[in-house]
Amino acid sequence: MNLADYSDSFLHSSIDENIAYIKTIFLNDDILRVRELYMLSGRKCALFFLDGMVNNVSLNESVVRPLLTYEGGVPLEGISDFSCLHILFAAEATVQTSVEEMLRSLLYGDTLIIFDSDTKAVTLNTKGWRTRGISEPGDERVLEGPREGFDEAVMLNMAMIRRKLPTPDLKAEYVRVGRRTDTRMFICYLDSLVNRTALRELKNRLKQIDIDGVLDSNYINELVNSNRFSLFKTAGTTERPDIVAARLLEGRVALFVDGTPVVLTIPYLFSENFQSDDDYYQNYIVAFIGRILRYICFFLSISLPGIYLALITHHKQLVPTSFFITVASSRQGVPFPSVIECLVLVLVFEMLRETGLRVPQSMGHALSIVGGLVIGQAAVEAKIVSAPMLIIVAASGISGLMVQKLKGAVFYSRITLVLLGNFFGLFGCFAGLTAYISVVFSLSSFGTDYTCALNNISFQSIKDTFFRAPIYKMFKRPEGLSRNEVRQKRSKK
Amino acid sequence: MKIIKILCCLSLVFTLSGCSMLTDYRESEQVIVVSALGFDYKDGALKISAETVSKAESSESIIITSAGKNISNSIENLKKTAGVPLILSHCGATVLGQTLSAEQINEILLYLCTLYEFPSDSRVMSSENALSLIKCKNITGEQVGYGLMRLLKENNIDSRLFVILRNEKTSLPAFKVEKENYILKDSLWIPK
Repeated sequence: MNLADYSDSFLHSSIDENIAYIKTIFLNDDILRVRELYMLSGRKCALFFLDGMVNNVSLNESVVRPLLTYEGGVPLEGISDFSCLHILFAAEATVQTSVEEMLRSLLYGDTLIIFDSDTKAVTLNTKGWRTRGISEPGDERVLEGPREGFDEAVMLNMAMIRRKLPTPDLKAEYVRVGRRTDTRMFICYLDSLVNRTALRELKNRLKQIDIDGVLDSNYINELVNSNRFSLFKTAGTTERPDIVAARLLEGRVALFVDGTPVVLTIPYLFSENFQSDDDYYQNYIVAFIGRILRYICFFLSISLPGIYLALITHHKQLVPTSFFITVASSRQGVPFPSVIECLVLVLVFEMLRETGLRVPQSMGHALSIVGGLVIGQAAVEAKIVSAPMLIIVAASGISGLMVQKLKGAVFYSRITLVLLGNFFGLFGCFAGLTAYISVVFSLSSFGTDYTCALNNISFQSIKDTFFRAPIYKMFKRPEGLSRNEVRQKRSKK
Repeated sequence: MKIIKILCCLSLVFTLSGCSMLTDYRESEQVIVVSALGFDYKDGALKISAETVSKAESSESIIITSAGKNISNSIENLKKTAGVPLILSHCGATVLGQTLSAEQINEILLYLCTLYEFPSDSRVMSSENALSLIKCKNITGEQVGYGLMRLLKENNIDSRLFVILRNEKTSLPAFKVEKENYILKDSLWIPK
């Protein structure tokens, strides 16, 4: 049975019946601990908690000891309310009437106390499970700047973001999703800056979710995504509190999901795919080059194999003679058509990349040497593939690594352009690129245009898109995202 | 509706590309690159000789020859003789034998100009016998066509195809063969 099935259930006045009832609910669950005790006044009570989820010291000192040593009198009715006010030392104590809420608290590490002759119960915050702790996220390392990353415990994550933004303007709305996992989430935003359309859209879509379990934020990402067949992300993900804080300051909404360090941020813009955390923690001149390079690499990554294939199979007249001779010479003896050669190499590159991610880090270097150098060299010498094609696919693959956030889109686009280039030549490639641009411009993320920065192009609107302008020049927040666009006042100097 | 849109886009790409997958698609190793074309008039036929680029570094260039009644017929026969598609887009030199009349030269140049794949910056030159010039052994190891092209560039002689066609009075740089090698003559050759 799910928690919602107990929404109409209430406790009896007899404690023995209540103990039996709770035990029945947790039948065959050996983690539940029940501690029955008598107060000095002779009143019987029972404590319920889940082993491993509570802090035993806190439980003993703030719950068991006060109950056993309280010498004052206790009322016959309303002992739950009385104990909260006069007996228990716990900082957070709540009187519950619904069995559903009692179970929810108990399952989340609280201690449940039931008193004899009372249909109410007290839940105390005695959570004490171990967490991984704050560490630097592996995929979002920076050379300079903050090194802390989120943890799997949502409350710890909320504390981290609260420390970054110590303002009452920061709001955190509590939501639960998942019939069985009952996953806790927080919708977080800065009230005076937030993009209301995105916030409303997110809340509406979250309400429509009916799923048994949510184990990661990607579940939510897929469930609330309106562009389900799109290759492009329309919700950002990060494990870094500084990035979430920066996005909240731009008027975005963050969704914290319990059990995962990955936080979703919406709306998400196309230009965010090219932004790196490092961009803001180093000199803007250096960041400028990095940003421009990412755009160039993205273009090369999706189009290089396709255009190369189109040139050597359809438009030989456009290739310099010496280069064409080199290509033709290296293709001598290769048994496969260029398109098959290209597709196989693209797939092999993806396999190597994926394998490199999955194997232990110590084996990664050996894999890259064996996979990249030895097999590549051997394949060329054995005339299975030609050297120029290997170079082109490798260059395209390495360029793709510059834009990790678009890796899915890059892979499929590359394959599409290879096929178009092979069948229709350069015309096919450019038709594909045109379609690609059309798709990007037609997308929206939670009611905000995916390319809203490019709608009315001005220096202010593109200052954090194609390049990263100096921070002292960023007077406004990204256009279309925030209600209050002024980020800093212009200096009078 | 989406499927119809996708089909429309694909059919547009297919037709607007000129069905290039059916006409232009050639694997690079399955074609022969022509580096020089030579034209001679002998025994009432237009003889055409083509120097092709060898894909193997060590082997020498191969000369393919054919003949025909006119330029289009000769080119057709040349393609048949080669057996595989000829790539004219990298032709560096067009050698016109001095046995050709001005009318024939005009016909040849105009025809080459209409071939969309033929480079308009291919250098045009003359020699007493085009075939013997193309057959020369180049001491630098490069193809004769590209060697001739480089020599003209170094001597600042602009005889590109489109320049020759634009000029009303045609005068061509002339080459002569000496001891299996070629040298640039001092005087220009003017077809009669």
